[in-house]
Amino acid sequence: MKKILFLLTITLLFFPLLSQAAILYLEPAEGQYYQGDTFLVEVRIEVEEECINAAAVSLTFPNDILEAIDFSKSNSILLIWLKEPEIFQEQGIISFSGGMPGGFCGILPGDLGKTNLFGRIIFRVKEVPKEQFFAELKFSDNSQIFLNDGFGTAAELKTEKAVLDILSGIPENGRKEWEEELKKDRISPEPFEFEIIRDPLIFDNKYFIVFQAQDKQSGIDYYEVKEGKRDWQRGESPHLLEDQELSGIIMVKAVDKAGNERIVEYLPEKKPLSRLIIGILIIIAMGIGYLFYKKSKWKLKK
Amino acid sequence: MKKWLILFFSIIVVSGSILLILSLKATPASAGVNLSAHISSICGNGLVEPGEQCDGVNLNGKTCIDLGLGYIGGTLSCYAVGWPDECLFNTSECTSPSPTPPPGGGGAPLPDTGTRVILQGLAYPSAKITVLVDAKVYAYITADSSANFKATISDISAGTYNFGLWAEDKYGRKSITFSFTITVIKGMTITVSGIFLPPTIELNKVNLDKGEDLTILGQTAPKSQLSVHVESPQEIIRETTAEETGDWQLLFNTAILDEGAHTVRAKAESQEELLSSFSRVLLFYVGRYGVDELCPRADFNKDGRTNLVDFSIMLYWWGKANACIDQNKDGIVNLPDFSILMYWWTG
Repeated sequence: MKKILFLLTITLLFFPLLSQAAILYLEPAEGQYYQGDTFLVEVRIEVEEECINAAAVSLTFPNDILEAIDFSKSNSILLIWLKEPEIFQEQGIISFSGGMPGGFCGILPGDLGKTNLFGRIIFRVKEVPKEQFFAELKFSDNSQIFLNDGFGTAAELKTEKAVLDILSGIPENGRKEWEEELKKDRISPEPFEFEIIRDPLIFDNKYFIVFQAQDKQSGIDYYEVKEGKRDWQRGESPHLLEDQELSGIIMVKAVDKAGNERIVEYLPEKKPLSRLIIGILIIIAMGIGYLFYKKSKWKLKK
Repeated sequence: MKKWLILFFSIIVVSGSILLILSLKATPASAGVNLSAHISSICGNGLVEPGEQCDGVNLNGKTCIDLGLGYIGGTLSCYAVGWPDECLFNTSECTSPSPTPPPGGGGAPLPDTGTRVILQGLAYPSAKITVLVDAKVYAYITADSSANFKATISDISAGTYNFGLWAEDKYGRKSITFSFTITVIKGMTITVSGIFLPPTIELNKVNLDKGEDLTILGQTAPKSQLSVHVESPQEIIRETTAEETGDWQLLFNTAILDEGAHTVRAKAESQEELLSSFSRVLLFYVGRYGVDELCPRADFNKDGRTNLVDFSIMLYWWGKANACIDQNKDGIVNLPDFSILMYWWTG
C-alpha cells in the first residue's frame, strides 16, 4: 500500500514536467540484426505542448560494429536543411540540422501516416567480434530543438536511445532494407524551380541561384549545376554563378538516392544590343547616308 | 505510527494532485497544438467519414430505395476519387418509376485519377490566402465574404507533405503561416477541415509612455472571440469580440506593465468553435527603451517575403556578426536566428 502511494506521488509530482518536453526518439528502439544486414533507423520527434520549428541533432553509434552508410531525407518534416546530414564514421557520429517553416505541432488528428520523421539512417552491420553485442544509438547532449515562438527559444528536450541486439553469423536471407527501397524507387524528384538573385548582403552583390527539390521516395542525394558550355559540377544552394553576364543556359539537376534525376533550366533573355554596338551602327548608318548624299549631289552637278 | 504514515502520504498525494491540476492549468494555451484542424475525410480508404455518403464499395448499408428519392430498385454505387461527386452516391443505375432519368451519372466527364488534398476552413472576409506546399508557393485563393476558403491541391505524388497557409486582410496586414504535415496517399482525396487561420494583428504604436493606452487591432472571422495575450513577466489576457466585418480592436492600458520590452499576440475562436493558432508576435516598448528593428520578420533582402533567398543570406553570414541577420541580437548569426526565420516564413 505504502509503495503504491509512494509511486503515485512520484508520478503525480513529475508528470507535469514531462508534458512540457519535445522528445527525440529512434524507431525501432530495439531489434535483432546479424552480420551483413542493412537496416534503417528512423529519427523521430514528438511534441506535446509546444510547436517547434528548428532542430540540430547529433547522435552517436558504435562504429566498430555498425557502419552508417547513408541518410535519407525523404518524407522528412525538415524542409529547409541548415546543415545537410553528415556521417563521421571514424568518430561514430551523425549530425544534421534543419527547419520547418511555420512550425510543427505534432501529428494531425486523422493522419494515416506517422508524419513526425526527421530522417532515416541506413546502417550496415560490420563484423561481430563476439556472439552477441548490444549496439547503443543515443542522441548527444548538444542536440537542440527550438520553439516556433518567434524568439528562437530552445525547447526542453528529452531523448530516448535505441539498443540493438547484434548477433554473429550471416543468415541466408539477410536484411537488405535500403537496397530494396532503392530498387523500388523509379520516380524522379518532385518538380522544382530555381531563382537567380543578386543582393548586396551576399556574394558581393554577384548573381547566385537558390534551389531546393524534394523527393518523396528515397530522398534527394545531391545537386549539379551547369552553366552554358561548362561541365556539370556538384553544387548546393546558394550557388554563386561563374557567368555573371547570365549569357548561357543555366541548368540545375536534382538526383535522388536511387539515381533518378530531374533537370530544370533557365534560358537567358535575349539581351538588347549594347549601347556601344548601337553607337557604332548609328555612325556607320550616318556614314553611308552621307556617302549617298554626296553621290547624289555629285550626280546632280554632272 | 501507521496512521501518521497514511496521513503523510495522503497529504503528499493531495498536494501532488493540486500541483498537477495547477500545472496543467498553467500550461500556456500558447502551445498551438490545441487546434481544430484535422483530417475530416479520406475518399478512397473504404470508410464512410464526415462529408462522405459512401467510399468505394462501402455504401454505408444503403440501397437505391433507402435514399427516399422515389427509386424502386436498381444498383446504387459510389463515385470514386477523381469524379466531381467523389465519395457521393451514384444513382445512375437506380430504377425510377417515371420516365424521368434519375439525377447524376450519365455523361459526367472522365475523372483525372490523381491524388488530391482539399484544405478548407476560415480566414477573414475576402482575405487573400497564399497556399504553400513544402514551403513553396502553390496557389493564391480568396476567402468569401463570410471568411470561408477552400483550396484543392491536385496531381501530387504520394508521400509526406507540409502544407502552409497565410492570409492578408483587407488592410494589407499579413498573418503568420499556419502549417501542418500530412501523409498523402496515392489515389485518395484527403480533406483537411477545421483550419482557422490565425488573426492578423497590428499596434497603433510601438513606443509608449507608462500608463498610455495601446490599441491592438486586426482581423479575423466575423463574430469570433479574441483572446489577446500580453507577455510581461506575467501573462495578461484580455478578451474581445470581432465585428461582423471581422475587424477587432482592444484598448490596453500600459499602467500595469513594467518599463521595458513586452510582446503581444492573439488567437481566436470562431462562432463554429474553430480554434486558431496564435497570431504574429508583436513587440512594443514601455518607457525609454524604444528601439527600431533593423531587419524585421527576417526579411533580409526587404522584398516583403521571408523565403529561400533570405535563408541563403543567413547561410552566408552563418557564425558571423551581422546586425541585420542577427535577429535575436546575441552578436552572432546562429540557430535561434534560424528558428526566427522559420517562424516568419512566407514562401
